[in-house]
Amino acid sequence: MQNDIALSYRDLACSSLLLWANAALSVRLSLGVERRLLWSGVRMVLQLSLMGWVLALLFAWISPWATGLAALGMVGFAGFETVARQPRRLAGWWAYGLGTGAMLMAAALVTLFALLGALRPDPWYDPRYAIPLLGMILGNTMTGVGLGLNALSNGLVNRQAAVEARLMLGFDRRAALAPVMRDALVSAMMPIINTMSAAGVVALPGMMTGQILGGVPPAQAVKYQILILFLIAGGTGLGSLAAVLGGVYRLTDARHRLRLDRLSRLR
Amino acid sequence: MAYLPAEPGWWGESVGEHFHDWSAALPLLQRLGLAADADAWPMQRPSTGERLRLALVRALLQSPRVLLLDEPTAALDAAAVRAVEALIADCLHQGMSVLWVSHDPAQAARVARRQLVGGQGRFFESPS
Repeated sequence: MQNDIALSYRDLACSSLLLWANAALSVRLSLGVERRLLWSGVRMVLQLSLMGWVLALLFAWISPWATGLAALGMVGFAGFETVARQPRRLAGWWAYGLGTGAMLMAAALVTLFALLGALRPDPWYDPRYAIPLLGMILGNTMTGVGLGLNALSNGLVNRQAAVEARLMLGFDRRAALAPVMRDALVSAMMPIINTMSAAGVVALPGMMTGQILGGVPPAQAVKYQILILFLIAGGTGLGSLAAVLGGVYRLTDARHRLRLDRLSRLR
Repeated sequence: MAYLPAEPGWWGESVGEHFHDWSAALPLLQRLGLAADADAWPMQRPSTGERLRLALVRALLQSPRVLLLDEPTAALDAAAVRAVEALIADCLHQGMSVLWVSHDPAQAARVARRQLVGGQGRFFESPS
């Protein structure tokens, strides 16, 4: 790009001082988040460096198989991250399978929709478009799926008596779980609703900021950002709906009973 | 099919939220000695006995073919017990099937067409 300022490793080390300062504050005030904060910082640096290296390889190859493999790897990690943040999980392989399946379906659909519809790069699987796009959609879908599943299992555990009262009156499982399901979907969609409401007025979204810092004219960066936000909203909605519906299906049975025994509790 | 447990559950914050149609519930509520304006009550207000009767009306309004009752009169005074028994007897006459769990042999003798007595892990038919 035209007038970008290249960052040196010293600049990065310098800016990491902010993270160190926060960790020091956490120690001083005994908040107990310092280890998680530093660890996530270390992970961020390692993972992004690795991704930079992978992207360079993919850009050199421009192979549909290599791109697809990288995409599958990202979905796999997203599934793992979703499970890791759930205090109550579905028992067995469902814990991993449900969230991952929902994200794979939603992110793949929405990414392909963007690649074949709005962006049309040549070739359509060009990793320079496909991977960053998938990354943004997947990151937000992951948040939505995690929040939705969390709200569903917490809601069912906390409101078990209310849900079972409706089941006892002969409501079927969909009707009996509808209020909890609705709340779960609302909390899944809340982050993207907030992001869209605040976009431009309060927050300049990261992707657009990145493009502008890279020298792209603001009007074009804005158009890209609008596209991305639509894609993210679509992916989050689709993914969390699939995950929550799957969770409702798994936490009830064909005899319309609530099956909280299929949740496993950690610690 | 509807089931009335010994401690019924509630999903709303007021009594009225649990009834699809309060005016349809009124005749049954009044028959069981409950206030006509109880729909505005917060759910903390009704006593255990009132809750049992509210839950019974709520279940009957679903017009189930089979009604399962677990000690539906456990927390009720004598007048309310008679009202509940009479109401269920009417339901039986209208063709509803009722499975009623009771610890009171006298009550079982009053309401039951067939009695099963449980003990030692089995049920025995008891002549009524």
